[in-house]
Amino acid sequence: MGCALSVAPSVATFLSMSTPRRNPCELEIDLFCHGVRMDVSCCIAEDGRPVARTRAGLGSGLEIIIPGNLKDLWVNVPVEEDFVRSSPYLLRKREGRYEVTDARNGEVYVLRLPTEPRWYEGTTSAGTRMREVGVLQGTYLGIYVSNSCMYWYGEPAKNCRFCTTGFNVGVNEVAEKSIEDVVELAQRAKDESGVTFVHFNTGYQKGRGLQQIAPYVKAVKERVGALIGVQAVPPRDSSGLWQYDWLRDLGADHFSFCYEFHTPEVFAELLPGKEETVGQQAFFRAMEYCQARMPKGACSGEIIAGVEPVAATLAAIDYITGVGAFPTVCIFRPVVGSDMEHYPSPRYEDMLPIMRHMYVACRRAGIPIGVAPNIEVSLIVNPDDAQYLVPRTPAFHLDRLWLRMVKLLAQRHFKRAMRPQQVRGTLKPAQLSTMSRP
Amino acid sequence: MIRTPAGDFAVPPDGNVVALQTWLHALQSSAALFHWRQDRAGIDLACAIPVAEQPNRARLKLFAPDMGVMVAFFYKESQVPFSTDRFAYGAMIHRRCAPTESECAASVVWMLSGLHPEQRPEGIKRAFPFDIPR
Repeated sequence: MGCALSVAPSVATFLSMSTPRRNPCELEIDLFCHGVRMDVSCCIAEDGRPVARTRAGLGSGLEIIIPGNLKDLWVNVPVEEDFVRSSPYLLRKREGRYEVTDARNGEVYVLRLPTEPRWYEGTTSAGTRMREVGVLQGTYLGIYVSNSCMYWYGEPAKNCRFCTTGFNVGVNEVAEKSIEDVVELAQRAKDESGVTFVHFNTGYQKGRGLQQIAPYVKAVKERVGALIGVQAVPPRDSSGLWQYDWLRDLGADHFSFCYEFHTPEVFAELLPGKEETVGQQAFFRAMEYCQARMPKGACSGEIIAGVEPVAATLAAIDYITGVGAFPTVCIFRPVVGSDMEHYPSPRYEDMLPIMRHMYVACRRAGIPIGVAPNIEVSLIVNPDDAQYLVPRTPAFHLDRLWLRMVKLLAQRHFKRAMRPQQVRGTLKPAQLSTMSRP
Repeated sequence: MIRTPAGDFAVPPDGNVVALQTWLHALQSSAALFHWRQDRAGIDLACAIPVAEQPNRARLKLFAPDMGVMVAFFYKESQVPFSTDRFAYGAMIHRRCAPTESECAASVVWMLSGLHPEQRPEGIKRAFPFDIPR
């Protein structure tokens, strides 16, 4: 396989030597904002995971691990976008190990590349390539159960403006995922990659997204055993919220709510499909409903930082943690092919206080972070990644001790939840027959 | 114009020949330069005019997925050499009809811009039921 080529930026771009050395989380944020160029010495095809764009397109980056003394950080670093060409960061392989060099100050950071799972090149019994069914994003298995999102169909398309899901049909992923394929994949990923968390996601399905995911949840919980996350556009009104209870009975452990932008006007402008079909309040209603019935931090509110004003993102974090959910804060990536491709990548200086605030808000709200076993999401700055951003005071160390105890106590619960088990729910609850067709 | 390494294009017999010829004529007669990449399926063209002093990543693939159908698929290739990823920007689908001159002209302008989102021509389908050959 070929090695990577380097595209050198102008040296004049990096005249400033005032950039200090980054700690692991600062480096993670900086890499999200700038991306990384690759030196000719890199042989990612042999040493790392393949770069493949699936789902909304964010997985287009290079998976790396930044080692740290508090925890290692998983990052999916942009490599495909045009802004990467002027990144100060250069990845190279030297004496058998990978490192990035910051051209602004000459600092060198040693990294690890997670290897490609063997099952990526495997096929299911039906002959489907496993990596076209689901991919690892960090340490969890992400499965986009149906690659179609109805927001993409129709004239004009009402897709979320940062998203490229509709462009992946028939290009990088199979369009429909069979239950058998998914079960086989989840089992391989659990056995060979130590996956503990399987995340199911679907695009807008005219109000049927949660129902579409239901059989996959049940099958994986019963036949494989894993922590299971679900993400779909929520019901338009409260009459559909029972579906979350139903999915919990089928084995769902986690729900995430991608409302992306806190400012209603930005939500309406950049998420025209969501605005027209359900509205921003539907996300809030569903998140509040679920979180009120589940342990703290079992739900997450997903937002994008770097598009709306910083104050709005901080307000979003306060709202999400106030509900008891944990904030999943993604740094905006102007993904190749998206409507927002020409937007600038966010500034490091803006993202840093956001991530610090995320950590502080989680701890203030008593949301346990970093407690679930082996769940590292590479597309975001995980809340516990941001512990590198706060001062190491006695209170900080006490808090870490407390979190470690919580993690220890929660181990039994998670172990039980990750066993294959008969679920309580059925795939045809009575409420389904009374649901009106959209 | 299209710079071909050697010989003429082989027009697929089962596709929409009129649509294909209209495209080829429009591209040949434009001032922009396109390179035909013979190692790719269909008629695969790379726009050779730089954008903001960087190589233009715009690609156009003309192919026939079905009898009487021709697809003009716009995309970018990965800039990471070990990746086989493709970035789709949509397609024009011609079922027993040919593109208009203005559609072709707008597409050329779009390719010259490096497939800038704000230059996207009308009539580009963003989701379509065809597998795109390599």
